[in-house]
Amino acid sequence: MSDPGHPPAWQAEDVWQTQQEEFVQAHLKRIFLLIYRLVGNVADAQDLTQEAFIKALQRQEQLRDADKAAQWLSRIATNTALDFLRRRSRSPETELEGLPSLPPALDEESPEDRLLRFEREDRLEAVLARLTPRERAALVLRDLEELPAEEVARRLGCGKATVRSHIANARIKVRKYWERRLK
Amino acid sequence: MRRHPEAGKIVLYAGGELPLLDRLALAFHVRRCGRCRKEVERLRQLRQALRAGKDRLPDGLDWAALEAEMKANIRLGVTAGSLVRRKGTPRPDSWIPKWKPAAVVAAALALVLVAGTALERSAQRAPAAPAGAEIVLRSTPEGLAVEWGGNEAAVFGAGSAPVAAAVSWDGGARAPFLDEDTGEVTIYNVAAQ
Repeated sequence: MSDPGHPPAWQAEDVWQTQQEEFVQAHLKRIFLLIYRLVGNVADAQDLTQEAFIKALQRQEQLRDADKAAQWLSRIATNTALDFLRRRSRSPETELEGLPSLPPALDEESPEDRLLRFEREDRLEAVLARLTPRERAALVLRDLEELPAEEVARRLGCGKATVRSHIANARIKVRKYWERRLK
Repeated sequence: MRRHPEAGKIVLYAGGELPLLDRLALAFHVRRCGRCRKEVERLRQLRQALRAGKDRLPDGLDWAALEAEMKANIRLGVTAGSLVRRKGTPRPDSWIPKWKPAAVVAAALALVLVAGTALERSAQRAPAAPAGAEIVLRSTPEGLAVEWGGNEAAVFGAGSAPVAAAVSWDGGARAPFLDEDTGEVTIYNVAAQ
């Protein structure tokens, strides 16, 4: 006989499985893109996304509140990606001077048009690939995920001054890159 | 000549990360300096442009295939994880009542107890022979003799010798007798209990 306060175990298992599938469906693309922006390649992003979801789904009690669950999943995803970057010894940093040049833009192109072209040509990956892992993580979390600088510092495990320095360096590099590519 | 703030401060000002005092000082400068104001505006536009590309998937990626693969792998990983967890510690939020494992153990013990009692009762059903009162079946020239407590209790086939006598595995004795006058064969099966 089952406890009247709870559904029977088999039914509870079905409900939980449905909740898991809905949770994955709702967040998979967002989390994949977040991790992809942090690590910079599809294969690693796929593995880390799966790892993050498996970690999250093992904590059923954390997923009851949808909003908190989404934030919590983002935190797991970020930490999973940052741990991976820490483990990975090689740095993707390259010199801005070594970048291939684009054909010169038309003189009459306005700054707004240049920005539109920047978006259209998917320069985001290209520019992120030129940053150090810490700069990249700081820029993605602050400017793409729009987290407060304090939260970025917490996630990166460093002080606010350090994170500000990473953000500043990243933005200066992005700015230079953008100038060079689109001028 | 007006001194412009360094690039690091400008980019942090544009993103709103500068500490209060620095922010106020820079705001004062930016209000009066067209060049820095333009730079801040550019940085903010660039930030918007980056953000606009945030949801764009990598070029050439087959998202439907990747999504299906990831979902399958996640399901597999979660299932494997839950199996490992069940083998180890119980899931903390399990809806299975805590008393159930104890009930299963108690039921198993009760079953052993009932089976033991039943076996003992069936053993008691056959009264044990008192010490020195063993039943002995013997084939004698007079027939099959049953001795109990050292005394001959009965003789089967009295007056005639058995043709052959056989003792079975359970202690019983079997002997056919031939009546030489009539030619009749009588078989006695005697079992001790």
